[in-house]
Amino acid sequence: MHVYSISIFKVEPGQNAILLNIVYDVSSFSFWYRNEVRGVLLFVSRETAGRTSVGERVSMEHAQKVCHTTVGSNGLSAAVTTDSEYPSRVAHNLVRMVMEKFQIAHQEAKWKSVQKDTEFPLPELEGILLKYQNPQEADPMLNLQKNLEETMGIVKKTVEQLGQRGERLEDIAAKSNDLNFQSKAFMQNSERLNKCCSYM
Amino acid sequence: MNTSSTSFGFDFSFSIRDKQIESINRMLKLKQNENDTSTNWQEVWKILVFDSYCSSIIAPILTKGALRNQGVTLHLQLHSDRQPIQDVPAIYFVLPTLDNIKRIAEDCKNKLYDNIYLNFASRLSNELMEELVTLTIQSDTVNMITKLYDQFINFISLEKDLFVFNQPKNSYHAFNDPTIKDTVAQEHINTVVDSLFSVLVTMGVIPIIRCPKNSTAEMISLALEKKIAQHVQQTGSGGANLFSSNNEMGSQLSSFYRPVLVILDRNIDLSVMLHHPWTYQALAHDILSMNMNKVKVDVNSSGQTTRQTYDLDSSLDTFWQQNSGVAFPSVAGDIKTHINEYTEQTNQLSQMTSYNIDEIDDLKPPKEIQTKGLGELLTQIRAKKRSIDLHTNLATALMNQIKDRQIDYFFAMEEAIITRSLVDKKELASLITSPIQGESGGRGTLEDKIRLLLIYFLSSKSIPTSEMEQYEDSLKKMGADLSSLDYFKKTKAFNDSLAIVNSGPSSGAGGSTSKTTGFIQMITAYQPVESFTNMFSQGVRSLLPKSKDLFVTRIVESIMDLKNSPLESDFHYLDPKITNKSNIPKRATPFKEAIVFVVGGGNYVEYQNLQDFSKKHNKKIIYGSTELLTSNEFLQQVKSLKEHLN
Repeated sequence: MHVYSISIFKVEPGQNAILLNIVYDVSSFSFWYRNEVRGVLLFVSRETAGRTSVGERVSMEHAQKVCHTTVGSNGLSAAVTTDSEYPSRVAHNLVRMVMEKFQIAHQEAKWKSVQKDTEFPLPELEGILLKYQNPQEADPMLNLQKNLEETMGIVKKTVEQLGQRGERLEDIAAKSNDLNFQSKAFMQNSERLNKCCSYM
Repeated sequence: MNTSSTSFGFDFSFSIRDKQIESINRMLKLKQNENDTSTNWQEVWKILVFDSYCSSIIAPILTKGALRNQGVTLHLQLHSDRQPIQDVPAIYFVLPTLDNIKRIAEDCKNKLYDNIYLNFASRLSNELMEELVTLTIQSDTVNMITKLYDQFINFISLEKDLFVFNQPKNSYHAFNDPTIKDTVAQEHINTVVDSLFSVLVTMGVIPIIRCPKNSTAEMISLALEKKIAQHVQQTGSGGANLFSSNNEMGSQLSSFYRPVLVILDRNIDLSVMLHHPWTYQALAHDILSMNMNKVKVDVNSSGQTTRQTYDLDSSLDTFWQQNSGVAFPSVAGDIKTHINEYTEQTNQLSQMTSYNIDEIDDLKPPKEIQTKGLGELLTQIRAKKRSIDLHTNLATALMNQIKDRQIDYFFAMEEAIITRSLVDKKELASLITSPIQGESGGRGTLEDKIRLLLIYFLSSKSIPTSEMEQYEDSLKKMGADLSSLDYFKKTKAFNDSLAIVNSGPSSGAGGSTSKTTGFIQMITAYQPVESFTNMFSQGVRSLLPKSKDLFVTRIVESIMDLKNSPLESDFHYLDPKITNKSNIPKRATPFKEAIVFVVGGGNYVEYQNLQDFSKKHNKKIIYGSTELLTSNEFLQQVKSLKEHLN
């Protein structure tokens, strides 16, 4: 069970989600892939958060990786990427908790006005990432409320559903600035799409 | 410091080989400064003691004669049994390792030499310095060490525009090993950063650095930028630093003269590592395993075969310098011209003296040679003959393999695939599924076929499963190990951007569209030099490759010309001189000079392609990599990676 990243975005419909903060734990990936993996995690988080409607709780799964996100009415969003074993309920609690902490730390007017990726520091985020690697410890209620996913209204999506108006993943990937050339190459061919994260 | 260059004191020679030779000669001079006349050390004989890495630095660029000109009469390996030699200074040139430090201390203890000048090819760490001091204090021989220098030259120059590191070993494997430990990976990065730093110090330049984001090249680039910036800041902006001492004017000049350093990962283009070459030097490397400018050739003469080792030195061999990048069929014609010149010169000599060239004994030349001032001509004639013999033997050996393996056909097919020209599927199938050379209807070795199939796989967006299966089955039946194909299937994605736009209509008979008819007719028998005119006379049709830019070349072009094309949209722009990273002033004029470095291996095909481009566009490009690999060496490393994937 792993949490790979926690990220915070400003989401506006019809526009690219703007990055406000992100922390990673890519230590479980091989050394040479870590840089590329960070790029992919940011890409997935940004695109998923950016295409989620206000109030929706989404867990988007692809190739044994899941991106959990929600968007608040003020356009603030947090996204958590995990492996497929990680309980979505805990992940969504984490998403909500991170959003609350961010709003306490930073005035809405400040982050609402940014037009491009800008770092809004949240030093405790690293510690939170570390703590949530162990969902039992982080969320003691886990055992008691195993099946709460259904009652929480988490929408499970696949990567194909990300696209709007006929966009395919390859098109989304091609436009992204988060992916380097190699990663974009991976997303180009739907035959190879299933293998795109096989090295991860 | 070299102040002897042009009249303005500028030295813009963008040649890594020349710069490294300057550094080594400075190291060998021992003079404290230009005005030191107290002892004319240059005229004193010296011993040179080096480890194997440093001897491989010196071998391609300084001949024994050149060393003797610097006063070096004897050179010895560090890790060998050596006798004491009195009254001579000993210059050590070694890597800063613990083993070397221990051996140096032992030499001191055994009082082998009177004065020792220690030169480390890269910076000696504090720990190792302390170790050296401790050991020499123990034997009370600290005073034997007269000087200690960090040289910053831990790389190997093969040509004026080509360099390698030869470390870390098996670099493609090393930089793609999914099981690698963090500490080992970090060591590999440090090794490459260290040697790249030395390259820049030796060239005396602080370049703009461009590298792809989120890649291994990025890790190396950021670490290198940091290292340069730290160094520049430590020594202050006005003071002399490592870079200015090698290029005094260069470092003070405006950014107009700064080159760009492009750092790329090998994975950006794998086809080039499998591509059969068609130019002279690249063929010598891939087919005959030329290594560090040395090549072994089997020579047939009067029924006997002997193995000759040749040195290919473009600074001494004009024919090699002019022909190393030339398409192979043209080389044949050039050898013919070379022979004609030789014949003219020997006739000239015969006419001016009463002697025939074969009658002259070089150890006891007839007086007439001296009195008529023909010594120079004789030397030239001898040198030409050596060169003719070398290139005739080399070209013949290459031609035999080309003929036996039908390398020209493989080359043409691979070109068609790589340039997205029309591929003759029947010919492709024939090359891959036909028997191995030597058998009836045989075409190419098993490795040749595997290379072609891999290039086809890597360059095609989608191949029908049935077609792939047909090829794979054929090869497996012939005993092929296709683990490299399995590896690429799992890890590499097809990339549309790798397609090269055809650079215009086919040029005459030399087009790269598929040719089913043979286009090289070979002479089967080796002719002695005297009747060389017959050789190659049977209409070697020149298949002149169109100038086609490979992928790395296109990226470099985009970067140098500031095109901002999609090829470099995901690239960093790093400037080690700028401390305020939020506002980096970007270059406004195109770069005239570039250093292109590929992490994880490169080859002469890629090198030649960059040289062709730079000549056409009046640019200067130096190419380097962690190692230069033949296709087979590359595939070996890929196979060993496949084992990790299981």
